[in-house]
Amino acid sequence: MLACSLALTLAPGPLLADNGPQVACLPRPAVLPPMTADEKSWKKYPSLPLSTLSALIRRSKEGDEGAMEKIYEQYKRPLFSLAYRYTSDRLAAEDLLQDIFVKVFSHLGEVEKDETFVAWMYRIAINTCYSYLRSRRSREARSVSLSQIEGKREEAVTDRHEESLAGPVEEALRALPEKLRAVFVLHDVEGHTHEEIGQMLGFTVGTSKSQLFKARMRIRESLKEKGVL
Amino acid sequence: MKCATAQELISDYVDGVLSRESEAELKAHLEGCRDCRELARDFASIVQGARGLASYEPSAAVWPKIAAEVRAARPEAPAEVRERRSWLGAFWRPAGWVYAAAAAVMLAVVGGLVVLQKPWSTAPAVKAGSVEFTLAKLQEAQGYYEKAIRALSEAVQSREDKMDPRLAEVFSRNLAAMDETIQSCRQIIQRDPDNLTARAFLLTAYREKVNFLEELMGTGRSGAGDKSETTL
Repeated sequence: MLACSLALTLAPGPLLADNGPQVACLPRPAVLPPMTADEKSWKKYPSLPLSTLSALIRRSKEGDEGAMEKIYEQYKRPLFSLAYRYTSDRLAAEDLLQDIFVKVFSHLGEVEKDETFVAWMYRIAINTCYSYLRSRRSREARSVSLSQIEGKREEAVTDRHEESLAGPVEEALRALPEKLRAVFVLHDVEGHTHEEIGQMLGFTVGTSKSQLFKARMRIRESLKEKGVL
Repeated sequence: MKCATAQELISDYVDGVLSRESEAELKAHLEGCRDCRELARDFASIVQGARGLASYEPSAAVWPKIAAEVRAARPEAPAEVRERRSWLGAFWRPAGWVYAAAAAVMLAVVGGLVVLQKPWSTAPAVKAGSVEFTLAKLQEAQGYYEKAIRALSEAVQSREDKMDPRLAEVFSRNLAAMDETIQSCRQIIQRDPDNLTARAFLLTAYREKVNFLEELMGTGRSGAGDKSETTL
């Protein structure tokens, strides 16, 4: 606790931005300040106006590559970040991002209402990530590690260094089960509402809320174990 | 209010979406319950921390691959759209032979892969007993190459601005062709993870990409344009 107080005194800035290997404490306000309207409607990636998005979808359906590229540019960062939080491997996440957008543009004709496009695209992204995890698990179960063969420690493709740089919350969220991770990333990291998450994942609002509660509890446990909370 | 009920409300309270009535009831509970107060504060810290997490950016090589794949799936596209969707625009025609050569190399590699897979053959590719060892070794090597490519790609990206734009575009095309080969190999491995031949081909493709990126870094150091003839 003393270490936490010192860290707070010496580094008054946002401690989560400090991605060094040291364990920093998360700031914990004594009294919860009320959320402002801006904070309540906060979104990490503000969406396009529906009229702009509709025009891009229509042009993309006609095969206009420029419109597709604009859609890609708009959504590449949230979807890549989502994929990266499932793979912890940049190359694999880029492969997933490619798969996701190829599926999106190949099946764009299935989008009847433009206002459902974003949820539909996220659903494709999340299912692609789940499918990647399933195939990775089955691959890992089949392959034999080098340590079993010749006593060497197998080098994981996962970039542990990059993972450790990402900070304790990032590390804790990557350890969440896949569905809890999806809800936590969509709600707490990206700022989607429970209604939007419900549309993306096929949940009710109540399920989305209870999943978020479970995810936050797991992250809390993990941060407490590490002495961050 | 019981703690179980309070816990159900704390998430919404932290998110600022609780009704006034429920909020007042919860606040009254929090004043007298240290555990629930701790939980609310911890959740608030987690939410604050999550909002500050990084946003990751994919490399510039991803879009050309998506565009190529979508283009390949739409052969019936009208001529004027096909014209508009060329992502390198005017550079496409003068550098057509370069891309054709790269594509030929890619086809040769993928074609070789299909032939060496020998789907018609029933004989095992390697003797029983050594398959697992070889597979593990190949996976290990693949991990090393992926790391090398990641590091080199980041280094190349940091130099892209300083490169001759024409040279940069030719490199992009060659890289896209190599990535397509890698992608084809990975797709085969995804379907058949124990396919040693496919894994060996993937390593060859990775090695080619590492060599290419290393050469590109060398070109960046010695001055753009000087080595373009030998590279191509």
